Amino acid sequence: MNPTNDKDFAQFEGAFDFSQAPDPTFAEMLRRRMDDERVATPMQRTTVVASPTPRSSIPAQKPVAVPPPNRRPIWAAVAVLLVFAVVGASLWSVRDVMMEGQYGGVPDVVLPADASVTPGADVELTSELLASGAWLHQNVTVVGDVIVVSGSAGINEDGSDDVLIYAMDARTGERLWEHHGWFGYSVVGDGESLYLIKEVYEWSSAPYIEESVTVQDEPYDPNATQTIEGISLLAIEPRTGEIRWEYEVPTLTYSIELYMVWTVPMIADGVVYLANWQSVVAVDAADGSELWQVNTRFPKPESHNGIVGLATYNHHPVLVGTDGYVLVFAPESGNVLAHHQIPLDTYFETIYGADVEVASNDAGVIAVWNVYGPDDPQTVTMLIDPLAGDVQSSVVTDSSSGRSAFAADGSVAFVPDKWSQGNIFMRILGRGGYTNFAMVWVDAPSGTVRLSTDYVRVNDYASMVVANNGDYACFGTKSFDCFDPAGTRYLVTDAMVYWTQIEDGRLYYSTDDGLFVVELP
Amino acid sequence: MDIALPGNIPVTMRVAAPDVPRATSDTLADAIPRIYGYFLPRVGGDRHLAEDLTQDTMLSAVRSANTPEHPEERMRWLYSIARNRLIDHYRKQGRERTVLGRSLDDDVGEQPGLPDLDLESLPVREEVMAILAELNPRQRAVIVLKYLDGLDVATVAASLFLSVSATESLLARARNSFRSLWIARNGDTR
Repeated sequence: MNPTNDKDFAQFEGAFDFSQAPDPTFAEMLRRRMDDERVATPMQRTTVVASPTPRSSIPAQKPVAVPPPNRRPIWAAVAVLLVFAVVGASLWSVRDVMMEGQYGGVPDVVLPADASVTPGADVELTSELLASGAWLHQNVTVVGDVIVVSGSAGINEDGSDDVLIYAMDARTGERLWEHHGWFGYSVVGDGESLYLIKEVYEWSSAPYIEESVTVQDEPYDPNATQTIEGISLLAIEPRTGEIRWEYEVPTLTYSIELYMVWTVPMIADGVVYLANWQSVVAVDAADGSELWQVNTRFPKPESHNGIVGLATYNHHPVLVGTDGYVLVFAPESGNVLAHHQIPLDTYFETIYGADVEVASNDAGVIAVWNVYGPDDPQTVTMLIDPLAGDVQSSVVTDSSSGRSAFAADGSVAFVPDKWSQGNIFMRILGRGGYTNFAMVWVDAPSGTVRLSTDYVRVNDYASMVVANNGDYACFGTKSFDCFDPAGTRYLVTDAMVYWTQIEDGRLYYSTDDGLFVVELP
Repeated sequence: MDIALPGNIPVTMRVAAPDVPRATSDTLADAIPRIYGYFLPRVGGDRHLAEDLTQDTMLSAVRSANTPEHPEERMRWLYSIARNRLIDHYRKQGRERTVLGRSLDDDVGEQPGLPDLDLESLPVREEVMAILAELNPRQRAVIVLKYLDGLDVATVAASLFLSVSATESLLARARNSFRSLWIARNGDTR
């Protein structure tokens, strides 16, 4: 059967939504926990007031030695203590794992993730609900005075999917404009226009995929290529949705084994830059005309990650690839002015892969490389002079989980994770374990770690991280919190956060309940 | 020291939140079997994982301030939380797979289509779950979200941090892997 035909899979829809009783012991334990939560959970804050209210600190969780019941034989008491000692040690051992192998010195502040460094300094913030509903499935970006959302609005009368992009007024929530039939992402703005990637979406319930992607050379061949075409760079008037110009992005052809994407557009000096592992294009922000297009001359990535980062330094576009590659281009012609491979100060195997995120300031380009090796992955944060190829500072930490937040003061916050095998009982019962998250806040100009938290177990993947001008770095573990450089914790929400962004001192985030905003003090 | 950050522009928005009752476990606990039944096939029949995700979903619901009062609305709301938990699980699996190294994608050729299945039959459903368990995590994720949950490709793409084109490509490979595994376990029963 043609691999693009999916008629035989349509029979699955709705066939797996049955009720099934779980293990009775599990069900009973869950009911009890739900009852406990109902008693313990305070009313959620829904008022419009944003003034911070001091509250007492929450002490860090510690292993607890539980005394045996009264009037039990002494051997039973010893056994109970031994069991709890083993369980406790296994449960909390992750708290001892911190910042192995760092080159940047001891962090200025190390604190438990659920308590301020200064007892009593926690500040509780009050959030406002902007829009209800589940927002996990939507691409959301706040740009200027509009919120841009892209996703699906349901099914059209002809059975095709109603894909759209729309904008809301950031003050009133009023729908400003919408475009149907295409998907928009990687949204940025410069005050005059929104710039985003438009991907025409032609899938429908019909059995055959339209020609947006072509898989060649069936049967499977690891040397086969895939082609992504039909992607455009768009400039849109923020308030009316008028499309000012559209630039057809060059076709991207790459090995079927690689993962290759276009970067988020970068705007500098009236030029919009866009890049991938293979090429960089420069487009005039005024009219969408192509100024130049060059080949990156990067070697083929050894892993399946063809990720690059794009920044600007001293008016020059700078492209940073995995494995330490740095390219500097002349803004007027695209000529390559400098080409370096930076040593990453840590051992890794390129075959295991790497990715990179970048930003820049007057001092240089800040690059955050996540590198994977046969052992634990690590993150290298560097401040680089891209023209000279000099490394100004370098900090090696536990590995970021892949999302870094660059602050305007040149600091970078990210969220390392560690896998824990769980306690002995979990292992006996065959449970796999769980992931623990921490936050690391690196001061790139000085090459030091400004703040780090302990690792804490998170039920799911709530590792969102965000920072603004260096006043705060925020991340989600058991709750979503912001920290200032002194270690004061600002409590935002107890809910799981799926998306977050800071704009002009306001922190936006989405949960299962909707889209919220909180004003940072 | 200024830094080049995209989209860092002031925003103002204030809308008062509705005053709604918070969740009560008395009304929610009855939904445990339905939520567990939602997760079980979508994690390839892994009972422990389905229990973990069910627990996370139900505890999140209890903590929420926005529990719908109408039973049908409440169930839709619970399913939306459950789907969010499932997508987060898939995202995490995607990262773990990246750390482990090379793609585990299929190397099978073009496969015949699936026969019409009696999905009312428990053994057939269990067979589908077993094949889902054998797929690599990314392929299982797109098959579940697209075909079991009926999401459109754009939503699947946004949920898994993929482009639409990459998602379509991944879906094509996932279908081929599924068909290949079906034939390997059951023969060509068309």
